[in-house]
Amino acid sequence: MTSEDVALLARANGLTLPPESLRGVAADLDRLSAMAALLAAVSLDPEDEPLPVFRLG
Amino acid sequence: MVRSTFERIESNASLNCFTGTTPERAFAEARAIDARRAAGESLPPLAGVPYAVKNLFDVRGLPTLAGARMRESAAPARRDAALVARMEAAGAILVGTTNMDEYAFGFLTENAHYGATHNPHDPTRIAGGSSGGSAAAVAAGIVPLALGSDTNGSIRVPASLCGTFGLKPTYGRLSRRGAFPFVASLDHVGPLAASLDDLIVCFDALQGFDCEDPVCVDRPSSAPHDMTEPTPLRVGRLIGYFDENAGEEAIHARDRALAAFDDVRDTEILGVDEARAAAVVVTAAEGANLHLPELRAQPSAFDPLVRDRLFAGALVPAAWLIQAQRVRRWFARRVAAALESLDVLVTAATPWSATLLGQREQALRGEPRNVQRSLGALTMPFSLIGLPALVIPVADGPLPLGVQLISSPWREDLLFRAAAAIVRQGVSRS
Repeated sequence: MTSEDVALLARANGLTLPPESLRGVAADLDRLSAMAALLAAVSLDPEDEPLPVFRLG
Repeated sequence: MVRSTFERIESNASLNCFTGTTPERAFAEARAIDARRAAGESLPPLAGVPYAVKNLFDVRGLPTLAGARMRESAAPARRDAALVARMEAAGAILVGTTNMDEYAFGFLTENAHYGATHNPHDPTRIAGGSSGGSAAAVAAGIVPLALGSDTNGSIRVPASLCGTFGLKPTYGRLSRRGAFPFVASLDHVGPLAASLDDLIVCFDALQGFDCEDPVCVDRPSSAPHDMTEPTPLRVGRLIGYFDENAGEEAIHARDRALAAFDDVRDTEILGVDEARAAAVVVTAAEGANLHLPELRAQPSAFDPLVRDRLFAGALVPAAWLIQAQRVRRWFARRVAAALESLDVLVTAATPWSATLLGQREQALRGEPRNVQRSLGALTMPFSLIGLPALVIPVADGPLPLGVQLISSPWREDLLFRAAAAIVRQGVSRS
């Protein structure tokens, strides 16, 4: 992801990033994107419901 | 006792463990204990024991910093966090608040505002984080007990690097009321201690349901009695991912600990890379959402080490987060299946011992690894699914290194039994 991409995405989300953050944020988003790709490859069952806040029974 | 504790804080000031001290409160609490003793009353279990808290716990009368300079102007806490209140009820004496990564987002405790906490075993090295000040204060012998929080490993990583005991109890076991949040669905609180006995007594004092923490579960406390009685345990040596993400020193420490057990079975759990990825995505998205107002209003007030990661988290698509939350359930089922035939899982707590302050990369199996991103590789999969985990100091080299014990939900007692077996074996550094 380029710095320009990040700046556009940030603006679309109502954020204004300091110029010195653009490269760092782009690198972090690339890493998160790689993690998301790994997660997308997991074959989930319908019973695998999201656990946003959970209690252990 | 209290006076000597403050002398130790002063003589170890160069370690930068503390961001604040509470002498007035400490002497008042000590006088109250003295009065009870003089009156012949029975004393509570931690009577007169000094302790410190990570500066994200509310302490009445003080602003709760959570490692952030921007919070110095926050209103003072009107009452103590639940765990601070329980420590006071148990007779413990609060002496100060400790350094941490800003908003608990890090494993280094190299805080841009309050400076780095130095490792007591080698002050040129990190203490680990984010509860680095708490771990270093215990390791330096300033206090025997401290409180920390653990979202992805923030008790266990500094415990490992500083050579202390540390416990991340089951998610929902201890009340987080009054602990500044980071990632609500992953946040845990717990103790660090100089010895296993101290850890157990402290954990017992902290237990109990609290309706003010929405995830705290109302269930019986884990009985402290007989926790260290010798018991045959079925132990899983975690291999695969856990070998690939640990250096030789860490694997050696793990195997030294495993020598305490007769029934050890190699155990490979599949899907750990995915679990770690889920932890990274959930942490980024939830953590960023919490701080969105400050990111919009005063981005330059953040520690640069933290700010960019929070900004990235604020841009995570919903689809990534939902998938990550579903993978949590998927991974929890896999680990539960492994624990059906085992009492405890064992792995190193960190990939290596403490790195140098300012060091950003460390070689692992000949490959450079980012220190910040790698330190939680062995802890994150278990906080993702809320399992209890205990770190025990084991390594016998010049620097400490901890071994991590993991058990089923609510079975902290099994962790204590396993840790006691390792202590009896004589390989723990404590």
